[in-house]
Amino acid sequence: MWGRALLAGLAGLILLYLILPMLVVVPLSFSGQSYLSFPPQSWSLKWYGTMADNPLWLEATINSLLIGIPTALISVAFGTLAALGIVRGNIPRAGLISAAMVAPMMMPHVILAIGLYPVMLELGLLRTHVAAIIGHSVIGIPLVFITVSAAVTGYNGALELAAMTMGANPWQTFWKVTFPMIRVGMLIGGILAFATSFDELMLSLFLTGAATRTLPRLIWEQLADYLTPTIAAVATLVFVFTLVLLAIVSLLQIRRGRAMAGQHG
Amino acid sequence: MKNKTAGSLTRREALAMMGAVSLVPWLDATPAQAASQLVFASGGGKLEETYKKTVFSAFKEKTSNDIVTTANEGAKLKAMVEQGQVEWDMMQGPAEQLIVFGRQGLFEPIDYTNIDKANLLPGAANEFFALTDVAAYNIGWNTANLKGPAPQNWAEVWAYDGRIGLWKKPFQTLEVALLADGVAIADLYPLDIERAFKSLDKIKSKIVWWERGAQGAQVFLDGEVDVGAIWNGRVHQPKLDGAPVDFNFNQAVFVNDAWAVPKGAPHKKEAMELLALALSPEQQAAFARELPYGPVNRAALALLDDKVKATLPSSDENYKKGRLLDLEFWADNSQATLEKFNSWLIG
Amino acid sequence: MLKGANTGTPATMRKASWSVARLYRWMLLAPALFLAAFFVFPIIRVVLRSFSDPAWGVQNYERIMAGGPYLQVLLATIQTAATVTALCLLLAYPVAYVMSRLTGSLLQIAAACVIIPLWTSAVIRSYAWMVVFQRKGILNEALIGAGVLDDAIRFLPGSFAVHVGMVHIMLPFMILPLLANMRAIDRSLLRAAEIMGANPLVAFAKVYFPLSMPGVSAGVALVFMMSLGFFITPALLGGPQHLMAAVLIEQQANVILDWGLASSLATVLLVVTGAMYVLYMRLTGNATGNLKGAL
Repeated sequence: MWGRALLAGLAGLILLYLILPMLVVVPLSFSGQSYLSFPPQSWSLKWYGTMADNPLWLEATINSLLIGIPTALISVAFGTLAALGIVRGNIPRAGLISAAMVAPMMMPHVILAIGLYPVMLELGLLRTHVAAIIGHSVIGIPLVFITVSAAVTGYNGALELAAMTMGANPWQTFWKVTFPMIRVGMLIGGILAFATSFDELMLSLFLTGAATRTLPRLIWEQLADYLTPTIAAVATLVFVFTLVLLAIVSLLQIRRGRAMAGQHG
Repeated sequence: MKNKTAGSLTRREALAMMGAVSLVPWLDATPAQAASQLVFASGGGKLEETYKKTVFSAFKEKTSNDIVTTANEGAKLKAMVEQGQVEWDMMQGPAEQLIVFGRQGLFEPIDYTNIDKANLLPGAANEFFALTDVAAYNIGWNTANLKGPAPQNWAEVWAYDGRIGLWKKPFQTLEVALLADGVAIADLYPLDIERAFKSLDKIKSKIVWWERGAQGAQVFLDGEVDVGAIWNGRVHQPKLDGAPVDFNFNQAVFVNDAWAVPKGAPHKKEAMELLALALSPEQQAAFARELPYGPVNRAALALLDDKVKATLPSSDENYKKGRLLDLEFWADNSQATLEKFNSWLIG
Repeated sequence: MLKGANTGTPATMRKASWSVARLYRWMLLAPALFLAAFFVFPIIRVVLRSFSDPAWGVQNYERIMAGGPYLQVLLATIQTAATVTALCLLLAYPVAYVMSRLTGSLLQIAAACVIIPLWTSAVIRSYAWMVVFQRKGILNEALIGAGVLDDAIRFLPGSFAVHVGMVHIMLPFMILPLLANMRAIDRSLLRAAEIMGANPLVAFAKVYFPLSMPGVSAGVALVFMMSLGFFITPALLGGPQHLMAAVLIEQQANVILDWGLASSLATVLLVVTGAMYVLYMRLTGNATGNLKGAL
């Protein structure tokens, strides 16, 4: 019992470590000074005002979402197909092929950008969001590939075999047997792919056009001279937005749980 | 059950809406810029803000051309020129970088016909780029931490018993190391690299390296370092805002921002006009009033009052305290020196 | 449903097995084509460049081998990535284990703690750590206030600060795959082992830990490879000894514009770490009985 309490305490401390930077950033965003000093000596809301006055922040957030969401979807689709194909397909040299699948993660982004630039140019995609989505998907697919591979490895292929032998078609087999097993892996891979795209700088710079700013680029610019509390305000808003999103998700789950319970009762 | 269906329907609707919204910018692929729109690649920050406030708005008034800004990554410049598909009309960057890019054939030669070269600082009018302002890599200190009198030269900085902040790059830092070691400012170039490393060796345990300009300012402001080297523009405004930081221009290394026109720029002619306007006394003075980066056009100094001039590295008073970075030296030696510097760092 | 369930399958099953495998192989086609077009093809051009810029030959590779900082930095990069991976695994395993047993709002709070840092720019997080670790920072003030220290410790730049910062960025990439895996583990197996008389620690080591291996190997692969590309955090929090390969490559590609050298550095990084990955897959693949006969 003591062991269990100790373990829970340890896990709590590590989770606290994960949000510790936010505990620094949130108070900084309310600082009354025009440079960063902690703890702030006076308080004000003016940094939120500065941000609201600057339409670039909203624009950049929208750009980042327009690139990040499709990137997550493409990465999940292709990463899942690749994981199923390699782990279940019994293909020869699976080790080498999966190494090739994850190789994009090891490439410095500037090199990837230099390589992709002429390709996008020839395809006529340069300066579009599509080019950045493709570029980010190249990095996102390996993330999903790895998380889904782990899920696929975690259960036995005989279940699918059984379903097929019993007469289920491949589509039914996927939805009824495979999908429930790998769903969490897909979701987590998608979250990681989105987060990676949301914080990526170099590929967006190369592949999108002039005047297309993404959030990391704007943050980078704001950091060009000296640090002002504006970036802390941005981080705080993203933090609040995430909290709201998570709260909505959990509310929906509770409601759905009640609906289901009502149905059974 | 009813609830559940409703939930998933709205979700689907939401997704569809998101899809429709997001398709708009994809289809609108921002084609080649319209005739009246110039693309200016800059490092962003206060510099870009000030350009917009001063020379860009004057240019818009004069020619009705708009200017949009983008990031000035060197690698993107090279990729665009190599592929013959250049988006930028003008690039701003540190002069020691632009001279290297110019030698790689990435820029158009500058058209000086409408520019009064005689009034520019010596070395400001280069074949492939023009210097546009003068900043300083100078002695700075945290006023709350400083024990004793403020350092008046680099030797005193080196001798300070405390933490010394320096930029983690060979450019400018090696100059300062030689000055600290007693090299006369007139005999600085060509740099004696080995001697500079020996000078850095003496304070290796006291150095706090900063990598980015914003980080450099921060380590001075919050007292992570006591004394050291910093660019004047990064600590000027915080000092005015009451931060515990101060600086002087003694033995400063003067560095420049420069503008250049990428080879194959779509609006070459307009870009040259923009450069001529930026170098005019009026615009140079307007810029210097906003940011403490001095004019390269001497005629601009006459338009500025003494209070502003005192803050500028290129005012007559301040300019004689330091020395301009030797661009040619760094163009010839940056690759080899960077390699040695990195080896020294990890050694 | 453990290992070995495949043996002794009837003929119909074997036939189905063959056709399922073929179906899955077809699935590989779309992502393979995508990556061939947008990764392999561009990278082949880059690799060619390492042999052709400024002239045909291996002079770029000779320069890397000739001394200078390159090999040392590459080694330091791999070392740093390995350390970060080990630390992440050590911290993530207990967190994921506890989280896998949580439900309801406790689980949601814990999940928020893991996901929120992911959404926050790595640059901003690195600056936040600077605030924590600086001379008059939160940590020093707290230690002095508690009487543990008389004078501020110098954390910046340094190994402790940089590892705290890097582990912070990578930890969600370890926790989430572990969590996915652990939630799928059938706990009745553990209980069965305990009922049969195994003490809880032995049951954990013999039953639970092997079952969590797919999660462990996924997390390790993710964190290690992403750590190789570390850029801004070591630059802001690390000392000179934390110079990373990505920083050197970026300097060459973006500042000096020596793409020949940049390409060859990237190629060496890719080959060395690719070889490590293949080796790793072979080891863990055998350990979990998957990807058998992979090579």
